[in-house]
Amino acid sequence: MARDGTGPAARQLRVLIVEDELLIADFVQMIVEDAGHSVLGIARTATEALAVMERTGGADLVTLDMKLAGDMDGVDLARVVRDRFGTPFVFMTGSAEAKSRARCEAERPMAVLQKPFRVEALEQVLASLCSSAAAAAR
Amino acid sequence: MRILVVDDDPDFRALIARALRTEFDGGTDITQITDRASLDAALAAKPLPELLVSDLSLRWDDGFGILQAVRSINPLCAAVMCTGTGNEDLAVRAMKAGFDDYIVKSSNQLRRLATAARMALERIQTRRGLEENRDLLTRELYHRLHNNLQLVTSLIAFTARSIDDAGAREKLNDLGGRVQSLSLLQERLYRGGDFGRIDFKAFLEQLVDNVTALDTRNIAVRFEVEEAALLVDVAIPLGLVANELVTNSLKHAFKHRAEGELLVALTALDPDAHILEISDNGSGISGETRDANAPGGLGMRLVRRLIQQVGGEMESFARPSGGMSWRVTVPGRPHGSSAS
Repeated sequence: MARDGTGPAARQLRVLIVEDELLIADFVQMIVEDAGHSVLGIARTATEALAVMERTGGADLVTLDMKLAGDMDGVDLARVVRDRFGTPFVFMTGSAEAKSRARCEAERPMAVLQKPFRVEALEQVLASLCSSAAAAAR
Repeated sequence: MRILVVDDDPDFRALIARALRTEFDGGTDITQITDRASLDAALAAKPLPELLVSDLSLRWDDGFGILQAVRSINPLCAAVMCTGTGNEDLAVRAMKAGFDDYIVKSSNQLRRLATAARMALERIQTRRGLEENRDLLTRELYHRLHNNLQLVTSLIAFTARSIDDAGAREKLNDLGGRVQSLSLLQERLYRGGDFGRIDFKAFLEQLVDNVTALDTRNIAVRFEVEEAALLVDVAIPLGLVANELVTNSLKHAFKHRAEGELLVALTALDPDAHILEISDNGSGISGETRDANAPGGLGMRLVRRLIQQVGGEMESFARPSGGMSWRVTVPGRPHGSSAS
């Protein structure tokens, strides 16, 4: 549900979830769908994520787990998502290290959500993306 | 590899340097230290020295002082002491001070000196490897812990969503909040690097920011929080208490109101004794039933128990300007704790 009072269907976002822990991916999906948006897919690796992006023509938002199996981690994938698709993204990280956080921030994400994060933290990211898109359309 | 050789006797310095060059088969950069100025210059240069060979008695310092200076710039520098006056007490002192080995200074001991230096370096290598492994393991462990806490948070949210009863759902959300504040404490503990104490000021500010950010009303927060590195045994219960009191104020003090003010204060009485105060300008105790004031309420039961855990006391009073204040005083050391 939208907490900013603008109503859930102001703009429906298509969200790609990149997360190798399926229960956490389900949690993210629940938040996205409860807020009135749709999930483009759940990818467990960077390769899977890029395949979904290519196939569907891109997402409105990508949620990125920092730690991924394979050659690319969340930050590597973020760079491609930004440069190739220009899609906004949000990091979700289990690391509390300053160095790791700085590496995330350097990619200019919409937010870095420190795990464990709560429903409202992601809701706020979705709401702010909706309102910035609405402002841009005016 | 950079090696420092410290000795007042130029002939012996040269002998040591030759023995080390032979032992390490080139690839060494040996600096001979003759006085304070050459030591300072050597310590300012890069790369850092990896091995120190020092005489005990010098005209301008002694071997212990040299070791201290070298280790202050490279704590993992291998060190061997040599001295003309060999005795057991001195050997023990040298080892206690942090030298890796101790050799009697004589030309027929040069071979032993070189071997001792090699072994000291190998030990340091092993130690460095172990420390790197330990750091990696700690990082992995924390990463796993945060992921698991995310699973717990997710499971609580799933469960809350499957429950129709609004009251039961709220209780589950409160549980989510408690898990979240524990996670914040855990994160602070890891970030601080000192696993005995938590930066409670940073924790408190982040906790209150997080909790109030979830509130859609206009809640102004005033922080009067002093710097405090609290012992983990105190910080964890007190952190949970802060979460309960802030959540309680938001839930009850500002019921039916569009805005409110919170004051969050932490005062240090001495390095280990503190006063935590959470105040609001809400409806006060008479206006609404306040969870924390109801003896049977879960929030209040938890608060009482957690304060008992740290041997503290709590008082609550109505503020003259309206609203309530909760003041928790914690003494220096938790009861029954052996934390150092």
